[in-house]
Amino acid sequence: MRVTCGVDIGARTVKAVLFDVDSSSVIASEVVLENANPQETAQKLVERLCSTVKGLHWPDTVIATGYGRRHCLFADDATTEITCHAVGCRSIFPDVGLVVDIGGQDSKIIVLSEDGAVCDFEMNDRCAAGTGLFFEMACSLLSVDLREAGKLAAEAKDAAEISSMCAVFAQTEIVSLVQSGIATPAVLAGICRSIAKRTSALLGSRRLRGRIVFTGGVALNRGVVLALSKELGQPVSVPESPQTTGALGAALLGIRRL
Amino acid sequence: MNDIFEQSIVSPELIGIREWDRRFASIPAQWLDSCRYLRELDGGTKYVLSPEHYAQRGDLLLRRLKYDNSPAGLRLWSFIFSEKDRLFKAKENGWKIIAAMKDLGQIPALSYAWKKQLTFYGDEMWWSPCFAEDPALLDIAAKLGAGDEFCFVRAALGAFETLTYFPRPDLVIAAVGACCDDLTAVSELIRRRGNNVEYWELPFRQCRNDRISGAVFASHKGQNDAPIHALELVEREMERVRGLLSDLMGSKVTDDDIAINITRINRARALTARIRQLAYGCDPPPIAGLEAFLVEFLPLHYCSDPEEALAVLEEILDLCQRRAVARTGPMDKDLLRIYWVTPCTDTSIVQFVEGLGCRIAGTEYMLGQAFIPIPEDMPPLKGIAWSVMNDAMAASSKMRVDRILGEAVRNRAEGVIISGIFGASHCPYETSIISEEITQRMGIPTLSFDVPFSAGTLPGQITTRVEAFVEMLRERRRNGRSVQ
Repeated sequence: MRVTCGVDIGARTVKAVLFDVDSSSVIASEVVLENANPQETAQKLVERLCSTVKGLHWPDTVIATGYGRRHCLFADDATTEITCHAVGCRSIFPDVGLVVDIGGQDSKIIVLSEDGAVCDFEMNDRCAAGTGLFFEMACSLLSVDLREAGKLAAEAKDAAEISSMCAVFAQTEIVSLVQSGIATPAVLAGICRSIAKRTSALLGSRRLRGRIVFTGGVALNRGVVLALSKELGQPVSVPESPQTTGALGAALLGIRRL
Repeated sequence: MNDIFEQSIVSPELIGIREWDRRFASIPAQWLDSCRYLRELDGGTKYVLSPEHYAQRGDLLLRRLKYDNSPAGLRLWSFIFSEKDRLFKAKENGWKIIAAMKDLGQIPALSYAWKKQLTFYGDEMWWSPCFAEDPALLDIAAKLGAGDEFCFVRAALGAFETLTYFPRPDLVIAAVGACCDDLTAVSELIRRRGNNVEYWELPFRQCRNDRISGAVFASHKGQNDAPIHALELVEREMERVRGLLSDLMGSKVTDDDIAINITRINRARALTARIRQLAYGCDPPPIAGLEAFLVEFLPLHYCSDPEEALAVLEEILDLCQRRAVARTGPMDKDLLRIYWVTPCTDTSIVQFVEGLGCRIAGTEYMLGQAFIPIPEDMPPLKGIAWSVMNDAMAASSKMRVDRILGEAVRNRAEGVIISGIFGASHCPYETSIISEEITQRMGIPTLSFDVPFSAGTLPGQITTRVEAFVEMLRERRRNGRSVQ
């Protein structure tokens, strides 16, 4: 059995995927929360995943990705999450033309050509507004469970207007909306719309082609999925495990090393 | 012969600061003694030293960089980083100090017709915080009204307060008009702090095909076509600046004196143009991107010593030519070819890109007019006016795009990096125009990002973008989609 492993060390979570090259399938994957020592967390995660596969001591190759990729000293190579998400998403949706990835720390759009290669990309900068961390902070302010927030937002009849360009100022705006009596689901829907608007703005004048795939932890949020579909004017597809597409792509890129 | 000079031709490499410290002792004392600035003052001052010497004075970024292993390269670095010594020495000896702001080589074409003065590039402070890995100059500027919303040239405002990078200039000559708003604002803040600032107007250069104002255009061989009214305005402004300089220096210069200076300046421009051709066109590149970067800035203000600047450039050109013949260079052959637009405030990004398996295959640092000779077949102030009209900032973005495409196509660039200067007023609108034009007209990918100040490390946002861009270019080459 030839097994590759992709490890995605992000800002909030560490993800790992084991890929069986011979059967061309994922044999194990997991997402764990980041701690102060992401390298150690990642190594233990890979060891744990390997222990679930009979006869596997360690993968044949490990490719690291994500913000912590350069610090993942046990990896054989490192590749950016931009390339990895593109490869991972294309393996699930061969007709993908655009990947939208919103993680804890940043959001990005990745444009793929018809042959599946990355041909353009854009990332947010300067502010955390429009990222998973922003949504987490907003949920904390609203005393809403993060896992419930997306559902509440999706069910809201109206969406409040969040106009601020800055995550910190947006928090002040959220407090102000709550104090003025706006219902929590409407505020959450407003936050989702704000994230979707910021993300779609990354597209600029680029023309859309093919399927839009939404990945990253924020893709688990039904409210943002709906808002993004509306903002982009077409449905977005969410992989079954949107947090691990980067790690999956890394594992697939590892095949080149075998 | 296998001395350090020959070694740098046969086995060029990029070495760290510690290695230069170790090798420095093998540089012949006679050669070190021959490299001197301000030879008019006591026979000149020796300045070629290990980069560690300059790092210890505060430019800490030098410790993170790699350097060409040639004495010529070391001379270039030392010449750049010893500029403040020249300025203070000249001041101590009673010379006049002139700061040129928003000036890409025009004022020195006039001012160096006088002896006993040095003209330096005041805006050059924009890269100082990154080299010093210290935001002190930016913090001072913020307290004086130029905060984060301003371009990095606001560091000049801080430097005018500390006077640690240069002595107080006797005169500051600043362009206004068709240039960055933030540059003008910084110049005005400097004036309000009691500095002797005089402005001259840089008019917008229309293109012949703009057809918006009915302007009448003139042509001259080797120059961009320019509206006659703009040329006449600049010539009058240069005459006025000449008057200001005469008052400052207490003496007048003739047209012949200025013409002689222009001939010398054109020599520096020709040397720089030739070095660029070799550095960006040869494979392997005879010098790395950062040495080429420094060379490009030399013909603007000659680091306050035109004669020594010429000697530095001649030695670099000789190095490039010998390496080109030997087909050697400090980097590998057949690297990914990157065209670079707008100079980086944090120069370590250039080496980061090269470290990923790329080489620089052309640049548009908005200095293009400084490589075009000033016409010598006309009165000198008219010639300078023509040169001013070659400034990319004085024209629409199309002029920059045309320059970029010309060189990028010639050197078969595979990707273009546009590194915006955080807060510079022209960057937000110009970057997207340049990016779209390149993609449409050349079909190669572009990457644009702003470079914020960061001490001692590159922000992850930038390294991830650059690495992803390089991965994309590598994949394109693998798929046969880039020009080989």
